[in-house]
Amino acid sequence: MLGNLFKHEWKDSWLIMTILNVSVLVLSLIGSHSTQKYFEILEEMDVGGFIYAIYILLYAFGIIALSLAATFYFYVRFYKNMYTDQGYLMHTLPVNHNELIVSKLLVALIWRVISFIVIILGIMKMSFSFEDIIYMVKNLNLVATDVVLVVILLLGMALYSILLGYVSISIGQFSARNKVLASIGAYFGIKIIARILRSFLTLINIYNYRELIEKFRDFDDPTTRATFMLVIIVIVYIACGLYYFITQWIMKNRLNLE
Amino acid sequence: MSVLVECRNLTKIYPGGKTAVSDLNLSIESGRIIGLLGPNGSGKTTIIKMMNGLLRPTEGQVIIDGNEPGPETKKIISYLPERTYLEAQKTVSDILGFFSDFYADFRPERARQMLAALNIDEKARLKTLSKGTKEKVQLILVMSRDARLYVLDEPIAGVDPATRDYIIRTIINNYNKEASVLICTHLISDVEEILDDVIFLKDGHVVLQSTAAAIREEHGETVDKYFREVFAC
Repeated sequence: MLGNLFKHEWKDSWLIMTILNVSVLVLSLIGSHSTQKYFEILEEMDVGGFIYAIYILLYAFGIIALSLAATFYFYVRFYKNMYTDQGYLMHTLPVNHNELIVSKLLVALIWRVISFIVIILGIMKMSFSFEDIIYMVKNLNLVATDVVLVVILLLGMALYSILLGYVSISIGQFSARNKVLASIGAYFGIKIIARILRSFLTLINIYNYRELIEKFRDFDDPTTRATFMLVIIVIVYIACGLYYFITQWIMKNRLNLE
Repeated sequence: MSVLVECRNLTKIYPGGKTAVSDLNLSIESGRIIGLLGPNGSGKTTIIKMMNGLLRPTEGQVIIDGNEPGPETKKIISYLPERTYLEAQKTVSDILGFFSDFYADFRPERARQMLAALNIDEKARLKTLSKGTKEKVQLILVMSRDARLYVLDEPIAGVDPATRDYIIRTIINNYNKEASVLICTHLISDVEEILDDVIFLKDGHVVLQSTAAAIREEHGETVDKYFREVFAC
């Protein structure tokens, strides 16, 4: 049944996500190298630089807005499907709670990855030529472990972001008055708690954040880089597991559709 | 006839302390049409939600065909909630596909026949349909399954008399005869003629479980009239 849930989740979300991602690509193409010559022509007229600066600013805002819209879209979908009237259908399907959550999580994650690639490609198209990119990658002196760990870390961070929304929405269901407001409160509450925990870990020197960052900035020692990333990966995935468990527990034991 | 549903010492206390169902025991046999009857707030919807796994009992158990509510019981229960649970953006055809994918006992041809009889366009998006038509679509979906238990929560509330007749006809003509139909309503007179059994609920307790025929025989009046006497304010 997981396959069927995945299929329908994908079918319901592909159009809006495609529109969002194509919008990013179009914005990037407008400001790409090939069109920069037009700005150069304008520059000769003393206003080109200003117009291009404004465009870059708008592009950055556009990317942020589209990225937030994509995140928000999957949060709203989760809330509507699971905790509003649509929940009467979703929770009476012959599937278990894990399948419900995992299907949504997978589709949201895949779109996160696609959006990430689109945004990176867009920024590159805006700022660098292909040769520049090859040159930069070569100069990073990355080893295979770095690449693998960065991919695992990025996937973990994407999962973290999605699950943070799911767990906040689920905690918000405990409110009798305003579940949406309670979900938003839970979201920021969890963020504050996470920040406090991070400070605490730094204080007791288990997780010497600053020192590791300083070492990481050197880009010299692959072992230090790997250690730093492994520590972050473990913390991120533990948090993901915790958020998943809480979401699943609330859905199983405290579901209370109005 | 075998016991299909059994509630054992079932209790539901909501957060905040309100007791909706208290130490309730009842059993439902297969092959019957049962009216779960009671005034507003008597616990009807809470019991139905617990049967469908939408609420967990505070104490006690619901057993459906030998299992506690979960994926196995959801395979055999066809549930019509009192809410419109379909996504407004979807077409009727999308929903038929959805039901076909998840319910092995769903009969799309039966659904298409009923939709055609009501001139409901399969390509229409649900957001373009009236509230009454959406309710009919939902009923058609629920009654197009060969389920073991149909649970219908207020299927005739808030609809016009013609639609009410259509709904009752649809229930009678389409349910699997081996199955049971549990109809939760406070509009007793409209469903009385199709009921085999009745369960009267008050304040989360069963105050009477009997056959409709026995009530009429023993009290010399309709179930509707007897209900009004029992629950007179």
